[in-house]
Amino acid sequence: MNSNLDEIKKRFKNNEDACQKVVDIFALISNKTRFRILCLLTEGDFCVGDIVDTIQISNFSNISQQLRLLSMAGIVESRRDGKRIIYHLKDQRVRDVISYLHEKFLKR
Amino acid sequence: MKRLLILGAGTAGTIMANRLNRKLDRREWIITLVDQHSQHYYQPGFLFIPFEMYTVADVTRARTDFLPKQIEYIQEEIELIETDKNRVKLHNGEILEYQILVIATGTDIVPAEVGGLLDNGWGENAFDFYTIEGAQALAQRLKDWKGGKLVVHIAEMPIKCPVAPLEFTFLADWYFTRKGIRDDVELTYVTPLSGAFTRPRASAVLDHLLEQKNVKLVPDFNIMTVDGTAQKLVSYDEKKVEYDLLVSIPTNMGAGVIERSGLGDELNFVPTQKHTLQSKAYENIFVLGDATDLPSSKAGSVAHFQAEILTENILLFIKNRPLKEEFDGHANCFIESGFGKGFLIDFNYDIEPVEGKFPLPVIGPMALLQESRMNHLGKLAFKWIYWHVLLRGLPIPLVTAKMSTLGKKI
Ligand SMILES: Cc1cc2nc3c(=O)[nH]c(=O)nc-3n(C[C@H](O)[C@H](O)[C@H](O)COP(=O)(O)OP(=O)(O)OC[C@H]3O[C@@H](n4cnc5c(N)ncnc54)[C@H](O)[C@@H]3O)c2cc1C
Repeated sequence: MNSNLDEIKKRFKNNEDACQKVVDIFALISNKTRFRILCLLTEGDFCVGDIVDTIQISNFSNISQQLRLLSMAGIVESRRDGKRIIYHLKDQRVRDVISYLHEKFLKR
Repeated sequence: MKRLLILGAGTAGTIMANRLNRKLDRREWIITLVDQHSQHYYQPGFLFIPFEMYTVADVTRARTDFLPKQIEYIQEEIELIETDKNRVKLHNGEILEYQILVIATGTDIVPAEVGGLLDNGWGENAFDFYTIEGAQALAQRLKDWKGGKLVVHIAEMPIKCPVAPLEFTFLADWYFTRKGIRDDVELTYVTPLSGAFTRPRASAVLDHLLEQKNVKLVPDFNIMTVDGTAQKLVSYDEKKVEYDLLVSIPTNMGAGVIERSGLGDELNFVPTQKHTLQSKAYENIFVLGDATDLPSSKAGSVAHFQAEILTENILLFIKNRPLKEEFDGHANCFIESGFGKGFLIDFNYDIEPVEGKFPLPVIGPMALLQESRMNHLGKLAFKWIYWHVLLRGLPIPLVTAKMSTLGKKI
């Protein structure tokens, strides 16, 4: 038996909330539309129109709905620039995760 | 002459026009009001239409019935607000210049914002009751509905009258009981909030009431898509709720003209100073009613309280004096809970709905946060008050814009 098990058990008991947070973040990322939105936002700040054009999902409104969800979760934020609303990937941890996944899976 | 221009002749715009008509020096100022529709709807009455308690005629009046002759009323769609030129362009090409602009263009549901909602079954087994058309179509559907899974679903916050979906659910429980089919109906309430209401204290009372009425509560549900073919709601984290009949409260958004004019946030609500109701971006623009981005409830009663404070502030603005920072987010709403009973809740930005009495501290007559027949009667009386007192910008007896804390358990 692993001699550290008791100590590990104690730690696991205490980090349930933290794990839930991580799982929630995964749930937010693990959808193709949202994942692609986040990937795009690692490359810069964009308005909804640009995001829709780049991601090319026919349903325009679905993307704004997903952006609001990400914004409510504190992962992205929006600001007004003249007549457009610009989205920015705010959460550095999510930016790091996306960059890691990009490095491991998407780079040829 | 100078012009004070009000955009939108709904609850808020109509109250403001009436109040300013009495207060502004009319030798100096023209008051102009613009709206696209000739009919004024009493929106709180939409709730009762699906259950055949009100007809369309009960909730409809001509807008001009509530406007004094001295107001210039223009019925036309507003195309664009050109803040750099202090003017507004109407759809027919007419240009209206203003010295002061009041934005009261409200909010509406936008079903297209909810992924999948319009793709399959909209108007057949998926309805809204936030529009007159939706409420009527739902009444038709409920008439001969034999039972099954009825799901009431709020897509995103904020929505106007955040208690209306709950009231709908309570009334549905009563309606199906009266029809003798309650046992054949599974009622489910699905919300992105963590409980039945936006404020924890009221939520605890209302969660309990849902349980008593055998309504299943599904909290923390953030919609990803409505799958109309499989008849289920799917959340972003893959939770699923099946329905036979969906009553949806889709995303609420500010008017399109706000977006076109570059004046709104993500949901086209206008960034507004919390206590003065001045626009954050322009000194001579004021905002009230559902059009603001404020965290106060989007309700007719709130528009009424705001109008009182905004009238004073506009007069101060004209005199070049500092504005009063007096709007405290005060809201009070009747909550119809079915079987001839109701609740009344009273709250502001800082104070949660509390127990106590309203409008006279201690004496009442209406109990806050407690179910009573008096509150149900209050809800029905609100229609009369709305047409005869509220829209005309007259004070509602004993009710003040700032919340009173006397006699309440804070
Ligand atoms: C089902 C339901 C139940 C409710 N129950 C209650 C309740 O019990 N108690 C309560 O206090 N409140 C209740 N409300 C909320 C209340 O009706 C609103 O908060 C109130 O009407 C807001 O007033 P407003 O003037 O801001 O917006 P509105 O009354 O919606 O008016 C906005 C006006 O702007 C006009 N407009 C918008 N864009 C343009 C354009 N481009 N050109 C021309 N005109 C334009 C529209 O035609 C409209 O007339 C309920 C609402 C609903 C839907």
